[in-house]
Amino acid sequence: MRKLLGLVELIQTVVDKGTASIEEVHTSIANGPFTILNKIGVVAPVSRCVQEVQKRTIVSVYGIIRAVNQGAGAMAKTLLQVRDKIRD
Amino acid sequence: MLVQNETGKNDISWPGRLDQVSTAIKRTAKTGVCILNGIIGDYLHDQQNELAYSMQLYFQNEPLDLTPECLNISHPNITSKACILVHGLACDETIWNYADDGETTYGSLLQRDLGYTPFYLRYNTGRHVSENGKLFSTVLSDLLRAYPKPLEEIILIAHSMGGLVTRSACDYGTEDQTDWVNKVRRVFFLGAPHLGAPLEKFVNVVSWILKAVPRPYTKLSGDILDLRSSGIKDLRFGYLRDEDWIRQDPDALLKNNKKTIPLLAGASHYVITGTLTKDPRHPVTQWFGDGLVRQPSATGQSSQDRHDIPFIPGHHREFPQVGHLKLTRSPGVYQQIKSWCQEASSSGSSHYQKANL
Repeated sequence: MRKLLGLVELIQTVVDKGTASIEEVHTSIANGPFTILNKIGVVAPVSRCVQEVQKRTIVSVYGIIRAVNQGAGAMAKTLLQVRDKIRD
Repeated sequence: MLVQNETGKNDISWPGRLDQVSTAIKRTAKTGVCILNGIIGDYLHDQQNELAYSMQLYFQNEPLDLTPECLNISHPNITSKACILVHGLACDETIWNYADDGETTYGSLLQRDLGYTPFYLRYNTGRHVSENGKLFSTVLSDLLRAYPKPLEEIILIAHSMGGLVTRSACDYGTEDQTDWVNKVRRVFFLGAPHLGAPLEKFVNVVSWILKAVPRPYTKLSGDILDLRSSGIKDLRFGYLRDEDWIRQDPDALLKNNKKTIPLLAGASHYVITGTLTKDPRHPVTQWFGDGLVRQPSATGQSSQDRHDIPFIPGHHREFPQVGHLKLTRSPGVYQQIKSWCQEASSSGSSHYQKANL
């Protein structure tokens, strides 16, 4: 039981930190083309607008992943504790 | 549970199959926890995660409380000679079990043949070697204190990283003037990377290169490689003491901060190595040794004299076609250990003195 709780905590941390790292890489790769487009006067206003939408989308998607991860972890911990109490 | 089917052949019933599956799952989970401890054991320890192993002596896969009562129960025929087996990276005490049965080990054979009482150490292999060395020294002091008989002799059999932990414990034990170090007569190193492991050096170079490339995804790959445990990083050059790693960048490119420490005075040290090929001069063996540790590292022969370890040439035996893990359960290796154990104990210390001259 205690080992399972440890495993749940570990998986939660891995998913959380992994998501943060991938989000960072994702944002940095996505910024590459926008950096160039933002320097071209004709397309710059549209490019900035699209970049903003994209930035918000990235933050939302990874935020949802983190929230689901937290929820699933909390649920798994509760279930394990309930199972433990039933066994007692 | 075996039952006869219609054709008269033995068949395994459903409860039996479930038992088998359950045993297999438990064994796989245990192996998984060992591997996790090896790769990120330091992190698990820092987070006080329940998956982190603590250091403890085991017997017949059960942890031992180091009290005279508990030792009398676990070892009803306890003798005045103890044998401690120390496993390597990402393993536990089951690494010593011969494959064909779960009970035969070098420890059980030494008990049967020479009357040594076996104890098996389990520890978190992801922590620094020096941290494990200090803990091991404490465990041996506790064992000596709890031992229900006067303990006259200790032998240590250490595999791979266990060899480094053992040397570290001997050094800290000597420094702290513990009593157990005076009881150690023989130390056997089976494929111990005294001067470092090439695979860890390779990973160190790869992660350094990945982080040097100015791309986020290569940096991420380098960062992921750098997550490997402190214990693994200590294997790069065979670090044994805190001073080797404290206030040092653990991911610096091939930077060796190792301090030289002596072998334990008064004990004989023996080295056993394996090779992947039949011919020890074969290029595969020259490059890969036993698969993970090369012979110069296992025998302490450094290109830099200051890191040389004064093992006696007669105290080294090489086993062709015995890989790194097979060193822990090879009948040939056991015969060699037994034969060395039967040598007069007085010759061991004199050999050591000669080696240091």
